[in-house]
Amino acid sequence: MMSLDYRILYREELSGDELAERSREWTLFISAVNDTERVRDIFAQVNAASKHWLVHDEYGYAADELPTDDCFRPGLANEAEFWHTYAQQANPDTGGTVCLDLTGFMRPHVAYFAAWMFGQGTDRFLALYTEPKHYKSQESTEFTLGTVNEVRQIAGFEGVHGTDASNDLLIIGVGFEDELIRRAANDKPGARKLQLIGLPSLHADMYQQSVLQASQAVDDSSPPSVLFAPANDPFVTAQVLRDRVTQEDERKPITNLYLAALGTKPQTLGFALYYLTERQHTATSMLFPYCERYSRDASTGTARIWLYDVQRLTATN
Amino acid sequence: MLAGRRNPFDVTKAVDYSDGEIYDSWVDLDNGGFAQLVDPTSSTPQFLLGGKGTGRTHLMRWFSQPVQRLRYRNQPPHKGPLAEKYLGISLRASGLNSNRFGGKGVPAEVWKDVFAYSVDLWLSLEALRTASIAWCELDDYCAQAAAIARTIAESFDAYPGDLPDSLEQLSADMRTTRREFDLAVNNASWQRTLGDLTIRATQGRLPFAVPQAFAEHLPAVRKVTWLYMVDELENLDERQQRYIQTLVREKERPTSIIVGARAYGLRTLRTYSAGEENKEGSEFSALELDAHHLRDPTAFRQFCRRVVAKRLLMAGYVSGNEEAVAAEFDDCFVTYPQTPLRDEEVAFVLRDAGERRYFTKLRNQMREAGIPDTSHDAIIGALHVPEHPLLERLNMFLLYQRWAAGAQLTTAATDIGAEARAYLKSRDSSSEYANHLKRRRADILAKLLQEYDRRQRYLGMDTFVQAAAGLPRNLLHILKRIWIAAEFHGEEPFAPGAGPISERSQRAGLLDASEWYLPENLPLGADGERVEIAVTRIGDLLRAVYFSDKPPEVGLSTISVDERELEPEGRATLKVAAQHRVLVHIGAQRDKSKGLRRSKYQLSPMLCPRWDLPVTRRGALALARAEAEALFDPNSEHFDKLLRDRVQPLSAPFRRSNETQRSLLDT
Repeated sequence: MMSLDYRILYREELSGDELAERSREWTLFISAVNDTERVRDIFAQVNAASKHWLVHDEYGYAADELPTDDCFRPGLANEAEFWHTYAQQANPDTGGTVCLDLTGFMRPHVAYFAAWMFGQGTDRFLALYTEPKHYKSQESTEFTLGTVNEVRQIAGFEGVHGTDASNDLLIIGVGFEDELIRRAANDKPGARKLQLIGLPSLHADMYQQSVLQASQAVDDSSPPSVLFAPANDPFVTAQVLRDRVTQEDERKPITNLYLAALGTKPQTLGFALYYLTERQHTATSMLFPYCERYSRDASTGTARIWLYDVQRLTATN
Repeated sequence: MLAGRRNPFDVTKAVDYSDGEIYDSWVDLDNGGFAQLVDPTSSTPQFLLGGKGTGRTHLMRWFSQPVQRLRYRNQPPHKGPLAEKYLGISLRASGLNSNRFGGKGVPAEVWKDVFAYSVDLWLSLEALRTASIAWCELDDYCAQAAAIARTIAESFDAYPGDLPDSLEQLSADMRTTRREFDLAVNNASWQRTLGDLTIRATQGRLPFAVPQAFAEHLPAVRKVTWLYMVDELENLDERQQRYIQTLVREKERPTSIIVGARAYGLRTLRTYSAGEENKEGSEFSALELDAHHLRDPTAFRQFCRRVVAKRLLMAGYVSGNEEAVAAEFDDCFVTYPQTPLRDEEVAFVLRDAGERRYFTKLRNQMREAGIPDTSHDAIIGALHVPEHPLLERLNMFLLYQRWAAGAQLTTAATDIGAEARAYLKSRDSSSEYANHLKRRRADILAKLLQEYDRRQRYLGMDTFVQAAAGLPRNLLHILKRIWIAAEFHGEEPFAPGAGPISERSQRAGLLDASEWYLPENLPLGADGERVEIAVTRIGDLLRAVYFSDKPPEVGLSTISVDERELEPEGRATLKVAAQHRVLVHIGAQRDKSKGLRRSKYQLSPMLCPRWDLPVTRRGALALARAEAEALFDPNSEHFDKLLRDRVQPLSAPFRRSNETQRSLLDT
């Protein structure tokens, strides 16, 4: 079996001062506009050579609510079109050190960013994530507004699937929103379900909240099968996925694998990293339940700041 | 308690079963069985429709080659298809991941062709795979394999590479082609083009060429129908479904097709064959399985009982044959004796100290109506049947009826009391009073439970079958949750000699299933929001009317509406709600007096417990145009007023003027 360990990738916790200092080395910092302190404050502290705001129309901002400088609005496009439109609008310099603040981005756009970077030959980028102190309504927090419009594969994460569906597997990275979990689960009714839960969670209470939501939404026949990965660690998330998929595949070959990253943004990055490193062009897809609107301000406060050194790994025999 | 017993109702979806379990858990219908409804050897394409959990997937897998093989265990793999005269090729449309085929800067016309070719490859590859398993032990298979492969390859307009000399090579070449296609489709996300993708076969050729080639070279299989079973059609959008409809229309022998879809999932009957539309009875036959079950409740009840018996037998919790086990179910659940007066069931009224709550309420209503206190005792006294609360409460209902009609209350109460006593003495079932009792018994019981702050009772297997509304999976969900509740309460559900499942476990399980049902069945997007609002309002309205003093109909869980009066959005909401089985379309009836044709929709019996409504269907609440509009317009602000206006005339003192109220006491 090929050897690969995502845990060798580096992550570190930064203070505000460290962030300000370290970011002086960055060529480009990209963040998505929303109302939370943990996005606005971080953007202000970063000292990158260029700083770009990107606007998700899903947040429903009017033009006069947006920052005036270096703010780009690709429109209500899918995640691939979003990034390519941004590239056309901003002509960003991605040749240097690029840092993406995951915090305000939609999860499919986080995933596609990684696909875009790796796809154009950039094998390394930085990602930043700032934990909230709390979500506003605990386990009832709604990050999405309105209902799910469609469940589809994330652009760039569409697999090459076979006709045999006798042992399909869906791994759902569960978060707080039972509607999303339910829709993802229902989209692949024939697939066996595994739930990846954030543990350690960002805060002690968040683990119970995730479990509560997942239990309400995944009505599967078999006893709930769960795996755990730290909510703030994309690299352990990728490793946990790799280990479990390998284990499942050895037990009985998986016919089609579906991944739905509905938990934290770092976990989403972990799902994407695992996919891009090992599952591209296989019978594996990442799914996402899409909504028209998202909440601009679902959390309060700023807790820990994490910096991830994301690199494309190569398996060795 | 038997700790650690696996819940035999855990598996609620056929997709979670292995082929062996599909075979082992198979239960047929009475009177000719499913074969009477769906003929796998028919050359006419068939559409299998219905709600979520109708048993469609189980049925289609029953027809599939792996399960055919199990029916002919220890025999060569061709034995089953040859004996049954069909080869079942089973596919799920969700496996196409059809959302990929759109957008990405590629014109819709191109996607149409690319999707069609992908479907052709998908079907023909699965046909090849299935055939190679089913026919591999036929005498001349090995000798003819190369010829079959070449014949299929020649049906390509431009075969990718050299012609194959084996079926394995053909499959490998086709898989490579499909993979190239998939990669191009996926890469179009950022490349904004499909590149130099080549479609190598005429649309619709390959899925029929594979069976034809086998039939040409293997005489033994010539009389076998190759049955493509495409399930989960709802995963395809309208444009994509048009291609499936085209295949249905253009199919060639020896191929036939069964298409499975949820009721909401059949988006079009149009084809790409000059835009023609497929017609039922001409190009295809159709069966709505749950509607079929609802039309024959006796057969459905028997079927459900056998399904449950089979589960218990498979789990090893009972022994015997299905019929014998099914016959024992009535003893597995706490129920109450169905005596005419339900004395045991309403004994809680007798245990409550003080004046009967409903009489206290009547006193207050009479006071509100301005009826002097001095008359109250006489009126209430006339209605007394203290040892039979059900009759007493029926008497009160009859009094409300006469009160609303303007009758004089003392006289009315005296008459009703006399009728009750006469009935008690004679038990004459032909009397008008007995008829009231028979019609209103369940409603009066529900009212008593409500007035005494008790949860409604939904007890016994037949009640759960009714709640399932023609969808066997619903029954399994109910029983799964009852099992969990029972074990939580320290009971031993279905264990021999362990006693029946308690009332509280049954109630908890059904309510839990009811709560699960709505979010599980709401459509995606804005439709889901509209349906949720409409269904919630219907439930609120029905409950308010059902528990009013003088409900106009018995057993209310149904509305009737003249759909022509509705705005298009309202009509669409009704249709979508019925397609998603949160409402059940009962049919239409003509209201001759008003020249209207009214459609009836029952709130799904799975949802009725959320509103304390009966799971059985009897009367229907006729909605006026303004009421229907307020119900189905999610932005309407009139619903609360509508609710008040609807219920007020049904509530004592029936909004009569002071003069009229006084006249009620005039002698």
